[in-house]
Amino acid sequence: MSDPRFDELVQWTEGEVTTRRAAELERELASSEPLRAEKAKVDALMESLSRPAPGLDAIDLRPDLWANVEATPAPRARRLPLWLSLAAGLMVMATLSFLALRGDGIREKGGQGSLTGFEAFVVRGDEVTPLGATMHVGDALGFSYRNLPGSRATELLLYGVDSRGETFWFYPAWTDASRPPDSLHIGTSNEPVRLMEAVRHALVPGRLELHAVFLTSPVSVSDAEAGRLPEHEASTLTVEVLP
Amino acid sequence: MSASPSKSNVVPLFAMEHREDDALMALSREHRAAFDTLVARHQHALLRIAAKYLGDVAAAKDVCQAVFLEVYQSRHRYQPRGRFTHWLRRVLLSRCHIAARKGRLVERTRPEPGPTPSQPDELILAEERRRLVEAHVSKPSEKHREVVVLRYAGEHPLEEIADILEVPLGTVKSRLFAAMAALSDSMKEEAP
Repeated sequence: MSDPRFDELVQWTEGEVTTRRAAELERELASSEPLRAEKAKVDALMESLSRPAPGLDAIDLRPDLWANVEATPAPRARRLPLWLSLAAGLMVMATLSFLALRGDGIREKGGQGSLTGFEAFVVRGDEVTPLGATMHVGDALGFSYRNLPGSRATELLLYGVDSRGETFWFYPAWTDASRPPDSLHIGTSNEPVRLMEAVRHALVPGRLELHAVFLTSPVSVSDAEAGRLPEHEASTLTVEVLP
Repeated sequence: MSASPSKSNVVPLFAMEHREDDALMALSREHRAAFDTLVARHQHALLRIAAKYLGDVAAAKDVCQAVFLEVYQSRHRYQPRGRFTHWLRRVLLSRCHIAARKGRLVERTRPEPGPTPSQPDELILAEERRRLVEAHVSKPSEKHREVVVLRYAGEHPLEEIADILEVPLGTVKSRLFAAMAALSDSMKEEAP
C-alpha cells in the first residue's frame, strides 16, 4: 500500500509540489524528526538509484563491439508489408493508372526491339505515378514487366542498388537473411504484367539503380549477388532518391 | 570567413549534441572511427541505465553491446532527425525489456565483488543500499521501471523522458511516482 507522505516527499524532491506546499514542507521538516527520517529515506533511495555499480564506468565496449561487428553478417534490407494497407487503393488505381499511363511518359526499359523489359511506378499513399527522374525516400515502388511470346525468359529478379552499393530486393522479397529465396517464375504474355505488390525500402538519398534480370533458369538471390547468373537479359533504370 | 552569431543560430546544447550525433552517424557509414566516437560518447550512460534496469552488470554489458551492434548495422538506414540520443535510449529499453523477459536474470549468477574493508563506512553503507535497491528495481512494471531508470540512472529530466518514451509529461510523472511507491513498498515488505 502506497504511503501518501512518501509519495508527497518524492514529488517535493522532484519539484512537483506547489511553491506554497514546498514552503510548508520546509517548515515542517525543520521541526519534525519523523519527517526528516522519511525525507532521508527518499533521498537515500534516489541516491541508490543514481549510483552506478562499482567498475561500471570503467567498462569500454568498443574492443568487443568491433569483434562482434566482424563476426556478425549485416541483416538484409526488409520488405515492408505495404500490400495489406495499400491493397484496395492499388488494385483500383493500378489498373486505371496502368491503362491511362501507357505511352504517357512511363519509364520503360527494354526497348521496342526487345522481348523483355520493365516499368516502375512510384506509389505514394493511394497515388500511383510513373517513375520519373526522382523519387523520395519514403516512396514505395511498384513494377510491371514485359515478357513477350518468343522470349526464352522464365525467371525474373528485380532489385535496386544505391550509391553506397547496398542492394534492396524487390522481387523476390528477401526478408530472412538465412533463407535466400529463388527468382520469381514468370510466363510470357502479349501484355505487360503488373506485379501487384508495392514495396518500400528504407532508402537513403542519392542515386538508385533499378535492375530487372530476365533468366532462362532459376537462381537464388545470394547467387545473383555473388554474380553467379545463368543466361540472362538485363534492363536498368536510374532514379535520384530525394530526402 | 566566419559567420557572426545571431539569435537564430542559437540552439540548445542538447539539440547540438543530437546534431553532432547525426553527423557522426553519417560519417560512420564509411569511417569506423566516427562510430567509435559515438560509442565512447554514449556507452557509459547506456551501461548505467541498463545495469540499473537489469540489476546485473554483465547482462547490461551484453545488452549494450547488442544495441551498438544493431545501431552500427543500421547506420545506412538511420534517418537523421536530431533525436539520436532519444532513439538510442528507445533501442536500449527495448533490448532491456527483452533481456528481462527472457528470465535469464532471475538469479544473479555473477555477483559483484563486495566493498573492500578499506572503504569508509559511509561508502560501504551506500553500496549496500545500492545493491538492495537494485534487487527491487524489477518489482515495478516495465513501463514504471523504464521511467525510474531514465530519471535516476540516466539523469534525464522528466520532459526528456516524455520525449524519449513518446508519452505525455503527465504520464511520465504518474509512472515515476507510482514506481517509486512500488519500490518503497517492496523494500518495506522485505525489511525485518
